[in-house]
Amino acid sequence: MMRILLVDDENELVSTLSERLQMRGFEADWATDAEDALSAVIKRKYDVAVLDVKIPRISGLNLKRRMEKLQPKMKFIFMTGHGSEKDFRMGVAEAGEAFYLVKPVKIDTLIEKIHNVLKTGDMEE
Amino acid sequence: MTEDQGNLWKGNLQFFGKATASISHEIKNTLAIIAESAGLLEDLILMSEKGMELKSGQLQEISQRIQRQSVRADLIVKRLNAFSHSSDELLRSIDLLELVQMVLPLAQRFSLLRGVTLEMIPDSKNVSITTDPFSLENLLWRSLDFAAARADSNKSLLINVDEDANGGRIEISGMKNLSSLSEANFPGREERMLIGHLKASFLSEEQMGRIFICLPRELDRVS
Repeated sequence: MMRILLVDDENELVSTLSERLQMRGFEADWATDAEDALSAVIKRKYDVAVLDVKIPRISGLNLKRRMEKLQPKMKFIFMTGHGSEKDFRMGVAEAGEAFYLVKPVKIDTLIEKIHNVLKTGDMEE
Repeated sequence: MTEDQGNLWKGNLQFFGKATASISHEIKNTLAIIAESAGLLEDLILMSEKGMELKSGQLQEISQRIQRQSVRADLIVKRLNAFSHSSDELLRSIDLLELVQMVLPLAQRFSLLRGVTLEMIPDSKNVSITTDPFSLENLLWRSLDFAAARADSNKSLLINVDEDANGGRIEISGMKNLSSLSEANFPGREERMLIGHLKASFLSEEQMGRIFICLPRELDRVS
């Protein structure tokens, strides 16, 4: 079973998304800040982390780097509510356009991206 | 229009852009939660058609989530409306406390990204002054941003509104020892321009980690 970690400071967003992923056969956990996300990654192995670009006290990009050190094989998808050109460029530069989502996220699109990011191997390649 | 006036307008426009972008982000988040909740309801209906029992507790929880987010979105839109209307008149009588209470939620999203909360001191006073509300909102926003970047280990800024001999003042406390504000270049060029425009004064108690924005009771004219 694929394990997904969702990280966003909007508690009700990640908990609902996680529930919907679970209904579709994923094992999904969620965290609302970097500390919780990192402690989840220390405790369990995840296949994919879905990160908000902006997380309290740390950017999604920095959180990704710290998570990668703990689990080098983990894949990442970024999401943002902003849609600003600057954030979009930042997210795309880090994740690649294929693995970047603008909220609200369609569950089918998220699942498609999860499968794709796992298929493509290291997304920075 | 003088160069200073032009810069002031430009600064205020940038502030308006930043604040409304932040508000739209917040609205987008509430809509995303409502959309996900509706999606979850659809999932449950589909599963019930396949024989899974619908649990009333779960449905109630989703319904309450949608209601909470609708109330939240409504508050955000009301705040956006009040904020937009604050630029209607260049000079008008305002309640300083109400203005601060309106700006805090706007600044809160940025301060939370630094892990810092903003709290009003409960015995803050209603103080009526005549000023340029929009420029004051910009100055307060900038001061809160400066303060959030220098919050002490409690990671909580306290904001107080009080009367003083000349009018009203806003106090922001909860910063680390501000050994040298000038080293931090605060107030910088844009803040100094706003302070001059509002005929305000900026005071700091560096060892106490607090700053004050003091405003005249009557700003007679704005250029």
